[in-house]
Parts: sequence; structure tokens; C-alpha cells
Amino acid sequence: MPMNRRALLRSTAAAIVPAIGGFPLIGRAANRPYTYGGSAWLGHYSAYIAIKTGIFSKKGLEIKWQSFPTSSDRMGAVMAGSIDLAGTGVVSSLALMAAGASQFKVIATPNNFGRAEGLLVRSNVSNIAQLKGKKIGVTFASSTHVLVLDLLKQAGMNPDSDVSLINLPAPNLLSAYQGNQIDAAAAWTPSFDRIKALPNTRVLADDTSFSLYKEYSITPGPDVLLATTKLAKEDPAAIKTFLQGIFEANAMLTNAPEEAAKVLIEITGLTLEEQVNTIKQTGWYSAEQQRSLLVAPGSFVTGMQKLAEMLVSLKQIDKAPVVRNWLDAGYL
Amino acid sequence: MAEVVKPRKSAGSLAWLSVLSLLGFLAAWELICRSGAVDPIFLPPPSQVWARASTMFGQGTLLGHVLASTRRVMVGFLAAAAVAIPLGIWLGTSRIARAIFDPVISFLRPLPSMSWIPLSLLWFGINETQKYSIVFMGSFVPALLYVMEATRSIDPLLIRAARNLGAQRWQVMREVLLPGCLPQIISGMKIILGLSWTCVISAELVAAKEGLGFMIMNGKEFFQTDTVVLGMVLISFTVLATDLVVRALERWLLAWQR
Amino acid sequence: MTTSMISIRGVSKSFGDNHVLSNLDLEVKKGEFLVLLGASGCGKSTLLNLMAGFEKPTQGSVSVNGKRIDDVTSACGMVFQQYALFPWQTVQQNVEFGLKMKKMPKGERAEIARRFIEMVGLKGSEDKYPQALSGGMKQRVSIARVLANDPDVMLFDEPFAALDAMTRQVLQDQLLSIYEQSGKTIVFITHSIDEALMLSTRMVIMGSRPGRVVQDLRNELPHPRTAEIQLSEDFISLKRSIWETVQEEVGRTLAVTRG
Repeated sequence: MPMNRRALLRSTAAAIVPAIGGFPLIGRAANRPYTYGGSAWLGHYSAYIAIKTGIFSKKGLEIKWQSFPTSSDRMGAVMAGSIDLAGTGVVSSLALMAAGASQFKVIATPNNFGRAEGLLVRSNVSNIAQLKGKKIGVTFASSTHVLVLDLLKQAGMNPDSDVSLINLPAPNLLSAYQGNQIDAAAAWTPSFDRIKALPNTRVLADDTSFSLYKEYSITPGPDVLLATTKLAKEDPAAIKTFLQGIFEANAMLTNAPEEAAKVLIEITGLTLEEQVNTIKQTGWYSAEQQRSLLVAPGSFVTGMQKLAEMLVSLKQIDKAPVVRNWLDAGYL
Repeated sequence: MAEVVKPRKSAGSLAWLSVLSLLGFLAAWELICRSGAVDPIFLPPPSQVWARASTMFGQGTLLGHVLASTRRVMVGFLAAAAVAIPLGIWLGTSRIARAIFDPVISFLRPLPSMSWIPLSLLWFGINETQKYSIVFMGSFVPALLYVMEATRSIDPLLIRAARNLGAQRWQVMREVLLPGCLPQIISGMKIILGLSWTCVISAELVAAKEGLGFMIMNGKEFFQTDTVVLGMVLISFTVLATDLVVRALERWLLAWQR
Repeated sequence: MTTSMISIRGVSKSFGDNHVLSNLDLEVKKGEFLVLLGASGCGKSTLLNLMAGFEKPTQGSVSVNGKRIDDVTSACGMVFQQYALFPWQTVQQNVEFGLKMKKMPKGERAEIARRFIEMVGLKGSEDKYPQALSGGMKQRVSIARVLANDPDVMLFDEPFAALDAMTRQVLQDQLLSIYEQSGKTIVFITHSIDEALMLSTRMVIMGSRPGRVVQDLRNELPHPRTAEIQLSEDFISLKRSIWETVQEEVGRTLAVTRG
């Protein structure tokens, strides 16, 4: 009886396929844990919340968290294939795009921040020209580095001769500033909050003073979420689920910041009050907003392209890549 | 007592082989990259590295990096040698001094130069002295141990002879041990110089804005692998150049050995 | 007692269980050329080291020129079998060494050194390094170096043993002439009876286990001593008188080691 045979074939196939699925050649490893590379920076809040509050696991997706202190370390792991998903500041991803890397795709931008990083100075400094001849501590190749270079350019100052830019990793900025070894520090949260809380210190400028922010609402190092091209080929469904989880987490950040804060202070070490403030002063995008940002009219993409051109003019990268080529909004 | 000596191939005749081998290596490297088998982000071809070198040289930054690192190495290394040589000779000859200093030396020895970075930033601030201190801390104890070992290479009969001729304790150290152990000390110092270079690279990863270590780190941050490779090549060349200078110095100091 | 240059009184020396010297008494007069003869292990070198202050006696006392020796002293200049020249210094610098240690000014010590370099027959080699010298020349530099330092006593620990017979003879001649010119007190160790007879004014044959004086005799052979003396009657009879003692001691040592 054909019906029975068909049913028999179907059930046989149903039995065989999972068995073959375990075969590496076919490589459809369903639900193996994927790794997300992040840090204590707010760009990763969405992923962290989604992991820790079980949003991903409820959807049947197992995501492991791995911490990387710098964007370049994280991007290195992406290039090497040791992590599947990551959040990163745009400078590292633009540098890799400029170098022609093909190992990743930009899939979303999770947030919009304007006040979580900036240039901190002693109370008696009221404009950037007063920093002439002084030492400014900043983490090179980061968004704050771009911010400082842009602020100096706006003030007509030469970053090589008018000030002394000292490369310091984020954890060292606080001690260097406290120890009076630097006169100003360019930092992002949570170091930013730590330094801001010191006596005799004020914020001279934050991302809202960035030249491209005024025009394109883009910060010097906006956050993007990436997936490896390998993952995109092997398990595109997982990426879709991942993004769903991200936007759920964003909803939580927007609607229930205190609850979210309680989870986040584990990783940031901020006080509950500081944490809630940081969450509140950041805009957490929803899935709908992504479409207008990334696809049509795609203001985020334009902004990123402008940022790439600025990095070229600031001599940070050799040439501006066509950002659109790395974008894949198909998972939204 | 005439010997029949077979004529030996002169040493110069094999240099061409080394040059050929180097060119072959570079050609292979270039071809592998050009074939597309390797992503240039992971390994840039020599032509790209050369292009980067020309650009940076044209901008005037390349020489600055080389000189900054060389200066830091030299100051740190010479400071370490200047302290380690007399101290090492003294410790090599005095059991009491050794007993006193051993605990401190044993504690300091395993510490990598990088671990001194946080303290050095606190003590010296962000300046060149802090860089010199990293090179010093990474080189000093190994240099000291080399010198102490070198003092054992001297023929004890020479010390006896010197004392027999009226040399006092300190005179023995200065007039016999120092010149007598000099060949061993110099060969040890050549190794320490290489060590000093690794210290400088780690020192430049934090709180620097020029130098070959900084250049490599900065290149890595921006995924300019050609800059990274260029930095490595320059370190190699500079170390070799320093080595030649040290060898010439060694020949002059140890003229009596010829 | 007052003309005694070296006084060894009741000296015993042990290294752990090894009793090298036992209750030794020896007086060396000023200007004597004393040769110590004996089998290996009889303590000759130890005795020399005690005189130079390289070792301290386990018991008893060692005095040189009235002063008790309890540490290394330049009063007894030692010439070693292995020369012990400083390879990084020229002949001139080596010979000047002791004077430099005494803080003598450059010009003065250069002058003195040159004189002694000439005395040992090495004029013209001042700027050579030891590496470029033959064994015999090295030993001459060694002697000049000790002489330049003007010690009360000169000690020689088998200095010519590593040299060939011809060089040895030349150096023996030279040493004799230096001795006759300078009148220094010399203590000289050798295994060779002929050498002892050629050089000494007094010979002490030491026995071993423990080290002690077995025979002590004057050498009245006439000075200046030339090579022909070895053929004379006096030489041969003197040789005979110590030969038996030496052979006996050698036999004893062999028996002990074989037993």
C-alpha cells in the first residue's frame, strides 16, 4: 500500500536524518552551544541579559558568554573562528572591513548611546584648548580614541604635536588619572563612571559633541552585532533566534531597567543607581527600528559609511570600505 | 714539525648560499600570498610589508619608532649591566653576600617584566623613565646571575697568584675577576640584550605612543597585519645591528685572546 | 734565631682525616736556597702553602721574617708550575702587577718592571701577551713578576716540571744567577734529585704519612754552578747519600698504597 510505504519511508527518514545529522560532513549540528564574545561595555548588555535571564534558552538556543577586554581581541577571535557571535565597536569592524575580511557579517545595531563615554578633565578646564601641552589618556583604536581625535580636529588642534595622547587600556585609565599621571582621560562606561565620580572632575565633552552625531546621530563607535559567515551558512535559524532574544532583552531594558540593572551589576561592578542611570540614558532599539536604521532609509548605514571616511581622514585606516557589503539585515 | 694542511674552503664562499636561501624564502612567501591561499589579514606578502614600510618612512614615523625602542633598550640594558656586573662579581666571590642577597634574587627572578608595569606606572608616572625601568627590571636579575656564574669560570690559581702579589679583596675583584671573567660576562650580556628587547616590546604595549612594540600593538588593533609584520622585521634587524656593534666591541675588549 | 727567615714550629696540618704534616720543625736561614725533596703526598706543597699563607696550620706556627703568618702574604712570592700569568695583560703589565697593588706610580713601576724583565732575559717582549710565549718564557715572566715585588722569600712549586729538558736547564741557570745576584731566601720543591743538587744550598728530604723531615743536609758544591758540575765526584757522592733515603721513602709510599 503506497500510503503505508510512504509513511514507512517518512518515518525511516525521520529516524535516519538525525543520525546523519550527527555526521560532521553534513554538519547540521542542531543546537550546539554558540559563543558570544562580549565585555562589561553597554553594547553587550542586551546579549548578557538575554543569556542570564534565560531568554535564549527558552527559545531553545544555547549561548555561552566569553569576555574579551578589547574589541580587537574579540574580533581576532571572530577571525579565528573561536566565537560565533559578537558585539563590537565599529572601529574594529571597519578596520577589518578595510582590510578585506570576509569572516563576519553585521546583523544588527542594538542600542544608541550618547552619554556613556566622553572626555573627563579636572574641574578647572572649561574647553579643549586648555589641554594644549597636556597628557590625555585614551585607549587607542577605540571609539573614545576617535572621539578625542574628532574633538581635537574641531578645535583646530594637532593630535601629534599639541597634546600628548597616551595609550592606556581601560583598566589603567582610572589609576593613571587618580595618580595625576595624566591630565585628562577619555573613557567609556564603567571606567567613565568611576572617573566621573572622582572629586574635582567633570565631563568636558561626550559623544553628543561628536561631529557626526550632530548630523547623523552616530557616535564615534556605535555598537553592532556580528555573526560569523560560517554560522550564517550553517545555522541561519540560530541567528534569527539570537536577534529575537536580543530585542526581547532590549524591551526589558527599556521597560524594566531596575530589574535589568540587578543582573548587569554582576559584570559591570557599578552601583545599582549608576547602572540604572546608564540603562536609562541609552536608547534600546526594537526590531522595527532596525529596519529603518539598516535597510530603508538606512540612516545607520550612511552614518557608518561617514564614520569610515572620517577614520581615513584621521589616518586610522587606509581606505574606507563599502560598509553596505557587510550588512545582512535578513535575520531581522 | 711541518704539517701538511689541506686547504680549506674560505668562510666567505658560503655567504652566497645564505643570500640565495633568503631570497628563495621571500619569493615563496610572496607567491603563497599571491595565489590567494592565505588571507592577507592573516599573512601579508613581503611586497605589502615593503609598501607599508615606504609609506611610514615617507611619513617620517618609521625612524622615530626604531629610535625610540632602541633608546629604551640601550638605557635599560646599560643600567642593568652597570649594576649587575660589579654586584655580580662581589656576590660571586662572597658567600656571606650571597646568603644575604639570595632571598631577594630568588623572589625577583621569576617575575616577567610585564608584571612590573602597574607598579612602574605608579612610581614613575607615564614617561620614559618608566619604560627604562621595565627594561631594567626584566634584565637585571638574569644579568646578575650570568655574572655570578661567570666568576666561576676564572682559574682559581690566578686569584691565588694575585693575592700572593699583594692584592686586597677589592683589588682582586677589579684587577683579576673583572678582566678575567670578561669573556663569559660579554657572552652573557649578548643574551641579556636579546632579553632587553622583549622587555621593551612589552613595556610599549601600555602608555606609549611610539616605538616598535607600540607599532606592533597599534597595527594589531587596526588589523594592519602588514604593520605588525613590519614591526617584527624591524625588531629583528635592529637586534642584529646591535649584535654586530657588540661583537666589534667584544673584539676590541678581548684583543688579548687573539 | 735572628738570622732565621722562615720559622716552622711544631706544625701539624690535617685536611679532615688526612694528616698531611705532623709536628714539623724547620728553620730556614736568610739567603738559603732550600730544596724540598720527597715522594708525592709528603706534604711539600702543603708546607709551601703554609709559608705563603694559603693555608693555616692545624697546630703550631709559621713565621716569616719574625712575623707570624696567618693569612696570604706578599712577603713570600710564589712561582707556580702552571705559571698563573694574567692572560689579559702583557708581559710588562704582569710584571708590574704587585707594584700596582702597592699603589706605586706608573712611571716608577714601569721602570722597575723593565729591569726585571731584562734580568730574566726577556727584553723586547714587554708588549707580548702570555698566549704568544713559550712555556719557558712564561715561567721567566712569572719569576720576574715575583722578583719585582721584592718579597723576603721566594717559593717555587715544581716550577720547571712542565718544561722540556733543554728549557729546564736554561731556566735553572738563570735562576741560579738571579739567586746569586739578589741573595733572596728561596724554598724550592722538586722531584728531581739532579735539580735539587744543582740549585740548592740545603736539601730537606721529607717522608710521607705523616709528612716530616727525614733527612736534612747542606749542599757545599761550589758556586757558580755550571752544567759540568754534574760530572764531578762531589756531586755524585752527594747524590748517592740522598738517593738511598729518597728510594726508601718512595718504596714506603708504594708499599702503603699497594698494601
